[in-house]
Formats: sequence, C-alpha cells, structure tokens
Amino acid sequence: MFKKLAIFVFLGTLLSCGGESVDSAAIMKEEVSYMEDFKKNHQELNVILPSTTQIIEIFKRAGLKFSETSCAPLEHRNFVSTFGKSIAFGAYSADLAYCLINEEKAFAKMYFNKVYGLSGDLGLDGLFNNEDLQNQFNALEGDDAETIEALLELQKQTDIYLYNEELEERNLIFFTGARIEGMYLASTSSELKDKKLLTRRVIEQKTVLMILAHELQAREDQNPEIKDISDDLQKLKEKLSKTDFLYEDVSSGEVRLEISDVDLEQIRLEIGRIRSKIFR
Amino acid sequence: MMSRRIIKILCLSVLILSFHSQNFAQEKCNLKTSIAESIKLIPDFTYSGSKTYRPETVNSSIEIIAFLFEGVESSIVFLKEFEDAIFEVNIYDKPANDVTKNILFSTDDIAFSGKELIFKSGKRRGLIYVNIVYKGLKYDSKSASCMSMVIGSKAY
Repeated sequence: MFKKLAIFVFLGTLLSCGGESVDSAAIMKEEVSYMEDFKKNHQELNVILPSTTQIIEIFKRAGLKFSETSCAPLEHRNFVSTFGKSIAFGAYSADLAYCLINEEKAFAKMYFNKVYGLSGDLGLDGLFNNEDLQNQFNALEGDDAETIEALLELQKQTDIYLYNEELEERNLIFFTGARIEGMYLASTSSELKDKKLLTRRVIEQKTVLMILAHELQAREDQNPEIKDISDDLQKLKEKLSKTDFLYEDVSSGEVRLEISDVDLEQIRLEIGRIRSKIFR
Repeated sequence: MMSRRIIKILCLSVLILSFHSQNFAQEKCNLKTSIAESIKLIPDFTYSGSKTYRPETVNSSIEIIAFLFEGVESSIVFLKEFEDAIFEVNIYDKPANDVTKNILFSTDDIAFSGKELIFKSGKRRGLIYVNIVYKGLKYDSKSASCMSMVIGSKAY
C-alpha cells in the first residue's frame, strides 16, 4: 500500500516541481490503481486536514482579492437534511473566514449569523454557548490579529465540541463544504498576483480531493447526497490530474508552472457546478 | 440478616461499577486541555487540527496522515493523558526521488517517556505520516492510556 502511496505522492510532487516532462495518462493510471489499492486496505483513514482559516489565508497569499459576489447567497435556503445543513455550515464558515481575512467585517457579521443559525439547526447550540468564542466574536471590531484569533477559536471550539459530543464524523462534512467554497472563492478571483503560487495551490487540491473523496466514500452510510458529492469531488480530482500545469513561453522557450486560462476556466465551471448543489 | 447482606453486596457492586465507569470515562483524552497545553508549550502556535488516540491493547498502533501547506512552519505536539503510558512515535514522509520512507523523527531509541513531545516540521509541504504505537504502562498502575496529537502552524 505504502509503495503505491509513495508513487502517488512522488508523481504529485513531480507535477508541482515543474520543468520536468510528465505523462498525464501514466499518472492517471497510477492514481486509479493507487485508489483501488488504498480503498482495499484502508477502511478507515486518519487524516488531519488543514483548517478553513488556513485554506483562505493561503489562497489570499496567492493574490485572492475580496469579491462580495463570489460569496455564498445569504437569503434563506431550505437545507432539509442534516447533510445539507452540515455542508452549508462548512461553506458559510469558509465565507466567514474569507470576509474576516479580507477585513470585510460587516459581511463577516452576516456570515457569522448564518453559521450561528445553522449550528442551532444542527443541534450544536452548545458550541456558541462557549464564553471564549462569544468574547472573540464580540471583539470583531478589533485589529487583524484579533479577527484571526476569532477564526482560530471557532475552529478549535468546533473540534472540541464535536469531539466531546462524539460527533467528530461531522467534521468531514463541514470540511468538505469549506473546501468546496474555498476552491470556488479562489477560482472566481479575477486578480491573481502570483499565478505560479495559485497553480501550486490548485495542484495541492488533488491530494486533498483524493483524501476527501475516499473518506466520503467510506462513509456512504449510505446517503445518496454523500455519494453524489463524493463522486463529484472524485471527478474534479480526475480533471485536475488530466490538466497540464506546465506552460511553455513560445518567445523565450521557458517552461514554467502555470495553469492556462482555458484550464482555469474549466476548473472554475466544474467547481461552480459542485458548489451550486450546496445552495440549490 | 440475609437481606442486609444482599443489600451490602448490591451497594458494593454499584460502587465497583461506578468506579469502573469513572476509570473508563478517563480514557477519553481531554482535548480542550491538550490544545491549551500545546499553545503554552509553543507560544506562537496557532491551532490547525487534532486527533486523539485511545489504544485498546498493547502494541496496537495508528497511522495518521497530516497535510502541510508549503511555506508554513508547522509543529506537532503529542500529549499523554497519563505520564506512565509508553508510546512510540515515528514520523516520516516520502521524498519525490524515493519510494521508501524517509524517517523525520522516531522515538525508537529514546522512549517517549515524558508527558509531551514536540515535533517541528519546518517549512515542509505535502503529506507527513505519523505512526503511533502503544507499548503499555511503565508501572503496573490503573492509568488509562490516551494521547492527543495537536497540529499547529506559524502561518499568521
């Protein structure tokens, strides 16, 4: 199993290094084979995924600018199932982080209220009864460092609350929602100061998507909504695997790591399609 | 006389059972305390994620995968709930030019005998693998065995 995993990581790293010729078809074949082997041997995967705050912060470093229209719709949506509410909770948490990191505090408050409301719908009222968390969000008028502290506190208290209530499996759904929304926000940003950095972040999605799709598939207990989103994420990962991230500058002959506008547009459309399922 | 004895036995059973259940309850790590202690240990540590491990038998193990972003200095703090539990921790990655494990840290030679252990990953990217093996108790005590792994970064 580890040999296959090593091959996958090796190929992923090779792609991200740039300047080396890679055969996409061979990579796809290896990855499919890796996933089959992985599924056979790992019924349960223990993964620590990055926090929502980290995802948004890192995309911001790649030049992600704030765009109000990119954020999730705030008007009432009928999130019927627990899964629907959970994935929306994750997505709105990403919007909250996005607004706070970009110092859009008025929007942040609206998204905070949305997250707060959904936490009640999900029976997680206890999460916001926490004094530490309330104090952090009451101080949202503060400086940048304080807003980041508030986000980190939300992440921390959510993890502790779910752990104490033995609801940790929900974290996966929250994270999936946050990840989809984070990818959407990044893909719709029109001003990207560092395309190479953005390309690296896009490539990183492959590994995370692979882990997410596997974890969701393992839990198909057996909710069709989970299966649907898991299939979508798997397809997106395959799309990323087929994408050529190497750009050749015709005038200088230089080959560099850079996603083409056409590929970026296709990925953007695919992410938008998946994301629209959360807020339909 | 007989019924008094039965009542005594019943009371004693209830006491024993409640003691047992208290002990069992202790086996769940206190994640809140672990996170707070991790932040105390590394002052500029910002919380990213966590996992707790409750081994059921000696020599049982767990493999945890952590995803690290490029350019972010990460640290992992391992905290035992009870100091006399012995754990072995191995951290490794898979470099691009090799398919074998690249051990980054291992307590094979020096047992993880204190209460906490800190691993600083530096600005590493991609996946790292954390293998934790429960080796039993140092003393023949009744302590439960539980360990928290708290991951954080210096990203902000």
